[in-house]
Amino acid sequence: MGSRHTYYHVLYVGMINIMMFVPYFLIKERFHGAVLGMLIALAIGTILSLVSMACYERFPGLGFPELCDLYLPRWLTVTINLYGALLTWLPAGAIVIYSYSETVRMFFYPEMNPFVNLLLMAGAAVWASSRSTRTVQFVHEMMIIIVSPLLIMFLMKAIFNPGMDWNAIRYVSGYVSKPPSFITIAAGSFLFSGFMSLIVFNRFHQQGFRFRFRWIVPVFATFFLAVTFFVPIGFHGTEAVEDYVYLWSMTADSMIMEYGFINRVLFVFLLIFTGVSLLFIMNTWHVAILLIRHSINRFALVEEAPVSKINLWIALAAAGLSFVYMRFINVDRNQMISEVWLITRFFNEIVFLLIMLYFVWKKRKEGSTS
Amino acid sequence: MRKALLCFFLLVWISGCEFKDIDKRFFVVAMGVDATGKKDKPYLVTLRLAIPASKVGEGLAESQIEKVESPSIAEAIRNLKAHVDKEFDFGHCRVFLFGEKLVAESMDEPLNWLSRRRDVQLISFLAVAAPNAFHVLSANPTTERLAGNAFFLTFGGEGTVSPYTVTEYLFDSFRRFKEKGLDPYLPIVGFDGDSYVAERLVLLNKKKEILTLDPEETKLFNLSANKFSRSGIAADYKGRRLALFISRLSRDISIEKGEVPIVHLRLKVTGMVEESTASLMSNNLAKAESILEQSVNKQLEALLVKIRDADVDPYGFGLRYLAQYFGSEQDYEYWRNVYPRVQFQVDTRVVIESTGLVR
Repeated sequence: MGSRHTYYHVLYVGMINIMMFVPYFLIKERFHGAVLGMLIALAIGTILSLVSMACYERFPGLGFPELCDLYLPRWLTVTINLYGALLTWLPAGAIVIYSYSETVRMFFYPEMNPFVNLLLMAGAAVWASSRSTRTVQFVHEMMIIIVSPLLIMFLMKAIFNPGMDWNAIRYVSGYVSKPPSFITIAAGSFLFSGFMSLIVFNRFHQQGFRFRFRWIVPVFATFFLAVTFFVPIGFHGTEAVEDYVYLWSMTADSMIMEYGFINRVLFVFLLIFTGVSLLFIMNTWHVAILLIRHSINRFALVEEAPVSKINLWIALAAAGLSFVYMRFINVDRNQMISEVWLITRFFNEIVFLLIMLYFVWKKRKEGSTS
Repeated sequence: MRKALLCFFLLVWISGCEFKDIDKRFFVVAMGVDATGKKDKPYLVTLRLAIPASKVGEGLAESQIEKVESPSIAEAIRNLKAHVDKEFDFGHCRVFLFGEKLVAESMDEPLNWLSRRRDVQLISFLAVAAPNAFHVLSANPTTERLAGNAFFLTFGGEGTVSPYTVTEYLFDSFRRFKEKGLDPYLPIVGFDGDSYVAERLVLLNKKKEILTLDPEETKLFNLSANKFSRSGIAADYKGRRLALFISRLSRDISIEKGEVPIVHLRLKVTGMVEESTASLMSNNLAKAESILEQSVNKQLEALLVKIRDADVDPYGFGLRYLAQYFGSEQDYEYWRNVYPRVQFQVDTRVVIESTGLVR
C-alpha cells in the first residue's frame, strides 16, 4: 500500500464534513469567531495529522490495537479499543447515514418512507463494511476514481461561478479578529481526521514504509475547509446563508449546467455524495468491526477469505442501531448529536496521539536498552 | 439464508414509492402570483400547465391555464388541485412571475412560500409581470415550440442574449432580500401580441418596489452592475449618431473614505464601431473615444444618483464598502446614514479596437 491510500481517507473525510454539519456550525459562528477558529483548527489539525502519521511510520504493519497489546495491559487495550469502536467510529457512520438518507429523501423521493430509504443505504453499507480490510481498501480507490471527475467539475463550477459574491466572502473574512469559538475549532479540525483511519489501515504498510508528499494532508484539508465555509456565503450572502437547513444542497442547487442533460447541479452533487457517504460509512463501520474483533480474539489480519461471519453480524448490528437512531432522532437532534460527536472526537484525537507518542517513546527506550 | 435475504430485499419494493406515471402528471412550467386587492383573498395564483403532445412545432405548444383566488399561496395550490385531473409537478417550474400590483405592495409572502418548497429550484427565473401575471401567462407566443420554453429562452441566455434583459435567479433574490448593503431587483416582462418583452427593471428595497428603470437605464445598469458585455453604447459625434458594440468589458469599484464616501466606478470598454455615418480615421478615433467616454460617464452618474436618491442599493455599494474596509456593525450603520449623500465618480475608458469593415 502506498501513501496515496491514506490520502484517500483524507479526501473523503474532507468532503463528508458537509454531512456532519460542519458548515452549519461554522456558518452559525461566522460573525463570532469562525474565521479565527478555522485558522486555529488548521494549525491543530496539521500538527495532529502530521505527528500521528510520523508515529505510525515507526510501526509499519501494526495497527493501533496491536500496539496497545505490545505496551499496555490487556484490560486497557480492550477499554480503549471498545471505546473507539462504540463511541467514535460507530456513531460517525450512524450520523452520516442518517443525514445522507434524509437529504436524498428530501430531494429525490420525498414521499418515500424514510426507513425504506435507510434500508437501501444500510444494506449497501453492511455489505461493504463487512468485507476484509484489503477489499475495503480497494473499494476506496475505485470510488475515488469514479467520483473525482464529477467532483472536480462540481468544485470548478462552484468556485468560478458568476453567481459567487466575493464581496460577501471578503466581508466575512474580515471578522478574523473576533475571538475564536470552540465548536469551530473542533468542527474545523474534523477535516483532517482522515489520518485516524491509520488506526487499522497502518497494517498494510511494509517494513521501511515512509509517507511521500505528506504536505497533501494539510493542503487538502485547508482547501476543503475554505470551500465548505466560503462557497455557501458566496452564493447566499452573509445573511440568508443561515436560513438553509440543507445548506450545501441548496448551494449546489444555485448552480446551472446550461448544456448538461440535467440543468440542476444539485443532482450531480447528490450523486457525488452517494459515493462519498457510502465510502465514509463503510470505513467507519469497518474500523469499528476490526476494533471489536481485536478486543474479542486479537484478530489483526488484513486479508481473510471467506470473511468471518462475525463481521456481518457486527455490521448488521450497526445497521440496526442506525434504524433505532432514525426512530428517535430528527434533523435538529442529529445536529446536536453531531456537535457532541465533533467535540469528543477532537479530544479523542489528542488522546490517541498522546498514546501513540507514548508507544514511540517506549519503543525508543527499548531500542536503547537492548 | 441466501433465499431469505433475497425475499427480504424484494419485499422492500412492495411498499413502493408513491410514484405517479408521467401521463398522470401535469407539469407546471410557470407560475404567477397577483395581488387582488381583496381583504379575504389577497392572492390570485395562476399556473401554466404543459400538455404533453406528440407533435412539436412552432406555435403548437399547448398549455392549460388554471387560476384561483386565495388567502395564501399554499392554499391556492391545494385548491387548484381540485380544478384538474392530474397531479401537479413543480419539478420543471423554472419561472415565477409576480404582478406589478403585488410587487408594489409586498414580496414577503411569495418569497416565504418559495423558500419553503423543496421542489422549487433555486435556479428559477423571477420577474415582474406587466400588467399582471395572469395576463402574461395566458398569452401564447406564436413561435413557442414547447410550453413555457419561450421564458427559458428569454431569460436563460440560451436563445436571445439581450443587454436589456436582466436575468434574476431565485437564489440571488433570496440573498438580496436579506443582505446588508445589497438590494434586490427584478426584470419586468410583458407581452406584445406575439412574444415576451423584457427590457425594464424594477428596483426594490427589502420589501417592495421602489423604482422602475426605463430600457436605456436598464441596459446601462446591466452593463455596469452585472458586467454584461455584448451590449452597446452610443453618443452623438459631429451631429451624427455613433454606436459602439462592446466586445469586452471590465469594471472595478472602490470606495474612498472621507467626509462623505466617494464611490469610484471604473469601466473599461473595448469594442468596435457598428454604425457611424461620420468617417473615423486614426486621427479622430481618440476624439470619438473621448466623446463616448464622457457620454457614458454622464449617463451612468445620473443613473447612480437616481438610484441613490430612491434609497436602494442594487449595486451592492454598501457590501462593497464593508468588504473593502472589513467593516463591522457600526460601519454599516454609518454607511446607512451617509448613503443618501454618497458621491459617485464614474471613470470610463473606451477603446475602439476596430471600425468594422470600413473606416
